[in-house]
Amino acid sequence: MKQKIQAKTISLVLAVLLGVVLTGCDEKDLSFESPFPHVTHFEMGIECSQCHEPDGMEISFPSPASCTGCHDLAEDGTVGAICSACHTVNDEFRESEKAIRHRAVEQFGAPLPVAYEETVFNHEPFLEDQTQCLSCHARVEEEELKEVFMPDMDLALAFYAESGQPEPPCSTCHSMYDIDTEPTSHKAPAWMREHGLTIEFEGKDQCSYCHEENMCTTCHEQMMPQNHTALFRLQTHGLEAEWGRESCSTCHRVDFCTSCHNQVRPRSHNAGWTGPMNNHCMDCHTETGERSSCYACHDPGVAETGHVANAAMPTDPRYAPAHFPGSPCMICHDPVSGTTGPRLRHPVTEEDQCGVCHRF
Amino acid sequence: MRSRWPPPQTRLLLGLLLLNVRPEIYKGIRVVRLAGLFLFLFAFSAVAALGAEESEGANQEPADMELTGEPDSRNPFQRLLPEAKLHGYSLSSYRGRWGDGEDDHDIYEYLTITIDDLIPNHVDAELSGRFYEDLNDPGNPLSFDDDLFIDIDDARDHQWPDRLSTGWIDIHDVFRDNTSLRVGRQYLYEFDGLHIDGAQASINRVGKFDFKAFVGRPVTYYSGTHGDSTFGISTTYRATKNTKFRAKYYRYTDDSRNLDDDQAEIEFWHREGRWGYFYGSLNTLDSDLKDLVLSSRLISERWNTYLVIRMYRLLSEIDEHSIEFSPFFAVLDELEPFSRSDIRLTKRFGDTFDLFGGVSVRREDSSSDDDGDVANSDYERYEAGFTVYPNKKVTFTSTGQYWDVDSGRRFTGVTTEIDYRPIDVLRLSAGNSYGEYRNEFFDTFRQLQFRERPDVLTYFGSLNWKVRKNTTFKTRLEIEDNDFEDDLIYRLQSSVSVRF
Repeated sequence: MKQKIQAKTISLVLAVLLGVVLTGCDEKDLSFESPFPHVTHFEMGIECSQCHEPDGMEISFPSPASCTGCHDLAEDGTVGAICSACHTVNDEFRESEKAIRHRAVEQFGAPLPVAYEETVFNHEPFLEDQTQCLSCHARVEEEELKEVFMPDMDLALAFYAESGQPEPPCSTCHSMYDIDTEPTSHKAPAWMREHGLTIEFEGKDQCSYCHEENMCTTCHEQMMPQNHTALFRLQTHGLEAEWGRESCSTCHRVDFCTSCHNQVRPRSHNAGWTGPMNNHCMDCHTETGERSSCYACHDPGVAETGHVANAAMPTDPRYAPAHFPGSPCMICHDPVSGTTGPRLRHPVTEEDQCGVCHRF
Repeated sequence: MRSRWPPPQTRLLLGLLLLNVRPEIYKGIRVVRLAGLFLFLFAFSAVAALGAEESEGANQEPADMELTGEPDSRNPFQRLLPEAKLHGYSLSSYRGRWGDGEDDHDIYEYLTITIDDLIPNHVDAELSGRFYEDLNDPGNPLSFDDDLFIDIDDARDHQWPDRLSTGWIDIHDVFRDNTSLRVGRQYLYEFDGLHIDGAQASINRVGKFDFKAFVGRPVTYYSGTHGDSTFGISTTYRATKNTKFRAKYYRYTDDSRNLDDDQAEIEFWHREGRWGYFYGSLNTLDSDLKDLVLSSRLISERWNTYLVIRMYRLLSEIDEHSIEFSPFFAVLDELEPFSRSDIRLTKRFGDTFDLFGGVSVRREDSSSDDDGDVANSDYERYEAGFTVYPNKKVTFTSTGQYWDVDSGRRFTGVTTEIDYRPIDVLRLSAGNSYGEYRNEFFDTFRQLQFRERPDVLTYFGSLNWKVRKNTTFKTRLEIEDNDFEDDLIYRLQSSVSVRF
């Protein structure tokens, strides 16, 4: 019943969260909505560069002269309509002017690695014909008043790959970031906690722009997770491994555990550890005699020879004849109902495990 | 009385020669040797870094320099291999821990040297590894009771040796563009991060396909791999710019356990605009379906939200397997089939406040609270927190988490941290972290219920200073107060890293 209620609650929470998020999942991303009727102008055969003239390494925002070259604004009485298409809109659009200059796309949250704030792209080699503009700024021609698509680094690198050219140095596009200057995303507080996720979704390709391949292991050897305290190392890591061993396997393989446990005795294994009233192996390693039991840490030979003191069997002739292999131990030694023999003083899971330690 | 042979002076000489002298003398020799090594590495890194900066500023080609008749100022490496580009990373770190009357002081040195264009356009090489030195040899303790700071990754009088992480030569684009053969010690991130001594061949961009194959002997720092071997193949299909699939197979032969395991996997990635990232994988292990992963990351700029939804399903029981696929069987027994779902949402309010939270739910297929199998548990994990950005220099973050695990186990944790960047190159942080475990267990033999509630409180402070463009100094001090020790435990780690 409890599980049903929990499942319902969790499902409800998930549904609400998903609804909230999906309603906002527009593909606004790094593009911006331009009020300028691009399609109309495309259809009239006007090239991009007629309005967006090169300005050094950048592409300029159209000046009023770009409009007045064709439109006689005073005569056709459309001053208001045409000009306001661009010039009377709010600050949001003025901000988008910066987007054309690849500067003001504000980064959202920690995990988004792409930001144009320091990107200066040299457009000059690409201005030979209009087609090349559209190879990066796709969708400008698709719908009236629609988005101007801003290319990202993947697209830029794909361009070089497809054209067979070697990848250019970072400084071709980036004025600030390079191998020694971390991107904005890396400065976010959540980055340390969440950078692993980006690898699942995007692979290590993006990391390798700057980082050596073995950087992950080098760094993770130095900076362990925050919960790896001394208490964790000494006491509680076993507890966490019990309920979430999948997390351990992110970094560790089984030989890490066994190698350490083989060499280092747990704190609980003190002088009285082998006493019969102690919980002994059985609390942790329940399958006596199996590889996963005491033998997880102790070599079988060592385990057996080390427990000879516990293998003391009755020498009293009254009882000795009963101790042959396969004899039902619990008839005499059951901790509660044992009849003749000394009652068992340590836990067992199955009767046939007695023979693992006790010799007959 | 018969005199011992050889005489004392000869023994001393022999001892010095064999470094088999009194421990304190030996330690002195080691410290001097270590200091020399670090000085050399640091000087090497610094010179290389300065050289890199100078060469960035100088556009003059080496050939032009010779034509001018000026003295050749290139270093020996550049003279020997004028086309080759040497770069790398060096990190020197000190770690000290003390408390309860014990202490441990170690030095670690990580070094990565990469040479691009050893043979122009065709051969690259890399060498990386870790050296360490234990500054206070504690002998050979066998228990945490004997030494509080035992750690299998600890520098411990070279009980566990230095590490060679990578050492490979990459021969590429010889007979065909986009081909490569890498030989030597290397990581195979595409194959679950396997670490091997062997060879990997790749052919990329054959239409929309990439191909990889490898063979080698696995490397692990914690156990022997004599007789072990592994090999595998993969192909990646880039359906579109935003969608790719990968199929891979590899075999791991674990000689010491006499086990062969075969894993095959299909993966896919898809990106939808900038709002949706999707990943999925299906694994088989030997003849069984092993697991299924589906995850997505959804971003809405309009709502300033970031959502991760992930589902993992273990489809069949896993017991004893090779080291690569063992579910820690040796210490935790079989891993039973289960499902785990995770959801995590981050939302930003304005420019100054982030709120995030998440839930993880794990359910074992044959779940029962009282089945006594503590290593196959159901749990719910809740996490919530916030980050405040009062201005561009200060960040305050607080997170809390709560685990509710069956069989009466709980964990509660809270961490707060304040981060201050007075200038771009300096970052100061301070905070604390509290965690409380609660563990209940029933002793079936004595019919007694036990409960333990250890807790741990940690205070920490750190400084991260970018001394030069390619040199960073970091230091972090932690003070831990936990239930099991009478005294506080201190941990200080300081490092200097140089990229050259």
